[in-house]
Amino acid sequence: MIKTKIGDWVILLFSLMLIPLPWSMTKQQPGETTAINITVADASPATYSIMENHQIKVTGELGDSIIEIHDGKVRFIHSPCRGKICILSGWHQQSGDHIACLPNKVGVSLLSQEDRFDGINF
Amino acid sequence: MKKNIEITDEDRKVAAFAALAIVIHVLESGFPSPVPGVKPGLANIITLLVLFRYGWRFAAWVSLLRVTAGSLLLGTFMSPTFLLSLSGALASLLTMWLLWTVMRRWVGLVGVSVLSSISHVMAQLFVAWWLFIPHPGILVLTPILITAGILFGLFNAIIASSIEKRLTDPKHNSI
Repeated sequence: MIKTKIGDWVILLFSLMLIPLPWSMTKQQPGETTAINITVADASPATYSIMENHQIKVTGELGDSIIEIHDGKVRFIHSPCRGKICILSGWHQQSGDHIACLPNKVGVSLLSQEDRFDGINF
Repeated sequence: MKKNIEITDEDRKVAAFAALAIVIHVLESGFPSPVPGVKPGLANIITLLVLFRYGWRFAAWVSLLRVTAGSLLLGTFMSPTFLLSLSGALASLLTMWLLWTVMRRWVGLVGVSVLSSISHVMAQLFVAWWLFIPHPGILVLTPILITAGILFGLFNAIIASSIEKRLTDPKHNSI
């Protein structure tokens, strides 16, 4: 049998009890996205807040694309393009992310207050 | 002018234990891991044993020598891997120091191993986020790493304590 002292059990019990905490904390990772930029063809980007839920209709090269903003997330819900990759890519909320519909020349960028690197490798 | 460097008995012991830890460290790096960053850290069994037999200063020597020499052998010296390894080692040494100087009477192998393992993981996550991947996405790894840290901390303590039992057995006692 392992020799234990009272502190061992206190530490072990506390750590085991605390295991669920980080799991629940990271589950709902709030996106720090504050706004989105929508770019159509060669026009300069238009900025929309991500706080209010609404749908934005933009007219691109092929026709109308509809972009939905809901609870801090963004997605394409309608697009005149053939592949529908923009719609199938689903909801986006992480800042720095992009959704693009190349055929219709519509791009959506998720912005945040601070510009940072996604990652650094050596 | 000739300088005499006296090699004490303690130095030899530090070197021997560090060598053991380095071998375990290098062997362990060859094992595949399902999740990046999750590994048992078996070399810390040596650090734990040394801490309980010879004290904190001795354990710090063994741990830091292991990190440095281990990275030289693996070719990761001064790379991100090395910095993560070093920051983890420093954090767990700090925890060991606190437990060793303040709460030695109440805490044994299990407590020290689990707590130092958690601080090891936390320090690595912080350094990884601070220096290499400043993106909130890295937080997704936190629960996995902490859970693994606690379980492997307990696992290492069990191994260390069974070794410790054999070491204190007069039949095998040679160090």
